[in-house]
Amino acid sequence: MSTETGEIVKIHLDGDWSMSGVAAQFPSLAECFSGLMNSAAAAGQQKSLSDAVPEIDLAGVTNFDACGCQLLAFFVRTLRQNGFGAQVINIPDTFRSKIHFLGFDYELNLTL
Amino acid sequence: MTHSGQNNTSIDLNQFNQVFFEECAEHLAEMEQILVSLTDAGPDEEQLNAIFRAAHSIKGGAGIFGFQDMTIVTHVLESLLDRMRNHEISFSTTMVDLFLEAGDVISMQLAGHRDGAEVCQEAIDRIRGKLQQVVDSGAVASSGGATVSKNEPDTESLLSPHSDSLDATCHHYELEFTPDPDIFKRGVRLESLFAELEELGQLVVIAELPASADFSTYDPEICISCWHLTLDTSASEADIRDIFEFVADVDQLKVLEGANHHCADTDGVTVEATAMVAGHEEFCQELARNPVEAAVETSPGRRAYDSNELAPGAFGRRTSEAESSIRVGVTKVDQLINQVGELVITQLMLAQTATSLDPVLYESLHRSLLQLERNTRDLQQSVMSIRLMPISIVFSRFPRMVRELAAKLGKQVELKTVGDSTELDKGLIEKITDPLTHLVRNCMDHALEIPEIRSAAGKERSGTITLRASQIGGRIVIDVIDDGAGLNRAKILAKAVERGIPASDSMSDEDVWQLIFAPGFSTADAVTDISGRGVGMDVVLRNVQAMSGRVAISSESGKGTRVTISLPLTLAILDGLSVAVGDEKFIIPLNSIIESLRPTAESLKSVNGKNVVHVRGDYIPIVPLYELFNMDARVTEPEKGILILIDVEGEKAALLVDALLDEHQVVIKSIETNYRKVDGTAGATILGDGRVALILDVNSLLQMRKKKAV
Repeated sequence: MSTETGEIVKIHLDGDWSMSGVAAQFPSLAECFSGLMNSAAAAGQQKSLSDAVPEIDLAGVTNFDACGCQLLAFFVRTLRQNGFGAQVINIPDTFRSKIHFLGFDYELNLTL
Repeated sequence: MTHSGQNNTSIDLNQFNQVFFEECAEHLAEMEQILVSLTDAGPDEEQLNAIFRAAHSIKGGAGIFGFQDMTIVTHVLESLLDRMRNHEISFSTTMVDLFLEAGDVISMQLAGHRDGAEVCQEAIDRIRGKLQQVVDSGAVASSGGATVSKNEPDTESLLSPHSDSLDATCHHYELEFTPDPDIFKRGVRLESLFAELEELGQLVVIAELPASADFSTYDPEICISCWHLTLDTSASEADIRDIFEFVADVDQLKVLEGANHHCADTDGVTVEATAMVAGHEEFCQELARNPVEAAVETSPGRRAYDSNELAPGAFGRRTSEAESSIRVGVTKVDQLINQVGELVITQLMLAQTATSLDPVLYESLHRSLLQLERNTRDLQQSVMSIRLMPISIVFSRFPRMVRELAAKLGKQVELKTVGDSTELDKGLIEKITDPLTHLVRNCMDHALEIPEIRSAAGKERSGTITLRASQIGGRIVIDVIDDGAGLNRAKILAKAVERGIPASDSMSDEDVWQLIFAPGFSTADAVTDISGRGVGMDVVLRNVQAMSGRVAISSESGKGTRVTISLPLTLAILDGLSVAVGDEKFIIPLNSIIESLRPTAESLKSVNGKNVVHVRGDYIPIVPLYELFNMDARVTEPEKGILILIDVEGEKAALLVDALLDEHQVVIKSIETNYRKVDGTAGATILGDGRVALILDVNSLLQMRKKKAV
């Protein structure tokens, strides 16, 4: 996972986002979240960051299941609850169908 | 993680499949045993639960091991049984046949996976349809109101393939699914679960995360989501719950039937639904705070086998059994037995060597060797007992066979088993099944009379077949007893003469009964009062003899017949007497020896040119072993040697040997495998001095003697 900062904060997710991989993904995700929170607090600019809408890029994700879906949804929800209007982008079609099938499209603010 | 995943997939799954196959076969046997024992009153609660558990376990195991086709029949069977448990569907006697047929089909599928046997898809579809018909009809019958009396368990209509009682009404269900927090860890795929639901109708899924969960303390492998699902389907609530059978207990899945309730009681639904959502939010909040405890607290009475496939009691496995026994391959046990056998031989060699050492000087060594001997024997006995299995494994297959044959033949038969816990070697268990099946079939086909004839003869209308097993000395004795017409002496003699078998009226009953074992005597021609007896009896005898066993018959006209099979306890060790003939040593099985004696000149006679010994009124033929084996003997005159009196199926003989040596418990080694078949022997063993001694097969010895005499 990598993070690009600028006007738009881009969070590139990659690798295994299934049950067998979420445990490994979580620390960097938590670190990313913490970084966002720290920089917002330090700059006192949380509102402007929120306006920037962090983009979560799924292009590099190889495996994705209900467990990964939940993590992603929870991450997005947490960002939103903390003032970051996150958006998920570059969702492979198969993942998009899976998100819909598992009913997380509402949590992820997606429409097919 | 990927790496470890690859390692996991490299595990040989066949070993686990084997466990499933064995467990599945056990569950099927258990199910069948209960079913055939049922009376018209039907199963009691425990029996019904046991049958359900068996079906449930097979389905669960099949699902886990990837034998999806096996879950098809078990799924419907389990649904039906579950409804019976819930008193939604009543028991009827015809269901027994239906369940037995289902068991057969599952057995066929099992054999397909295990042995690559052919699987008949038509049979699977047929039984699935029949079971589903009963489930559906039962569902209508139990749906309440005026229809109940109309559809009250009339089995014929329930099982009719043209029943038009299927309920095609489309229901609207609202489901709330709050899975176990560890559902992901258990490897449950929610995608598959929802796909199964989708097969039932139109499905809409909405996942919901708890409102207040802390990301910093979040465990990504724990499920914190709840799902709201709506499903429009003609399926019943039970069908929906079945899909969640292995992933959710009752409290974790709430099902509300929207459409029906709207018609009857809209307010009720609204109130309940509101309460449900409120409860759900509360639960989600608690879950976010402490996922595991929340789930446990909110799931009182959950079933262990539903919530965790890995739990000791999962899928109905009886915890105590699972923990008190382990499954070990037969080859491993045999290897162990073989190694212990070698150890016994080594111990014997040491003991032999020690005999030349001064007992005073080497007292400590002698004491240790004695201790070694005791320990080795104990170890050998313990290891041998691993292979022992209760004969109930064989007996349990007969109730169904008797039940079906009785129905087919229009006879009333009661099967009794005695001594079910009698244990014998696994190898013998496998080999004795066919001969016993043959004997029981014979009883059914030919010995037992139809009720009218039995009544006319002043007997109970129902005949009885008794299977009795017991351990007598070092042998297992199995009796197959019927109270039928008995063997017909005159007809057997006539048949023997017709077939050119030497027979005469002067023969004793015992000798006449033995005639039915003659090859070629096994025909469908009339022998007993009804039709015939002796079909394949030569095969029975041959099979039993191949196990070093014996068969004896006693019969009384009009009262019945008893066939007694006597088998050694095990085929791996033997108590024997070692004897010397010339430079060789032989082992004679102790269980065939009556006594040994040095004959006096007066007791030795000649009858028809054959040497006999006169012992307590009996003239017993003398069989010089050196003659049978073409050996040079030191003793050729009986009065200078030792006579060992043996008894084989009532026939006595006196084996002439040079000297008696010792009594041993010997480890039997197959001479056929290691060398070639030697007539008159049942194997070989290695003695303490390292020499090989042949173990005599006394039965075969007498046959050899007779051939030589001819």
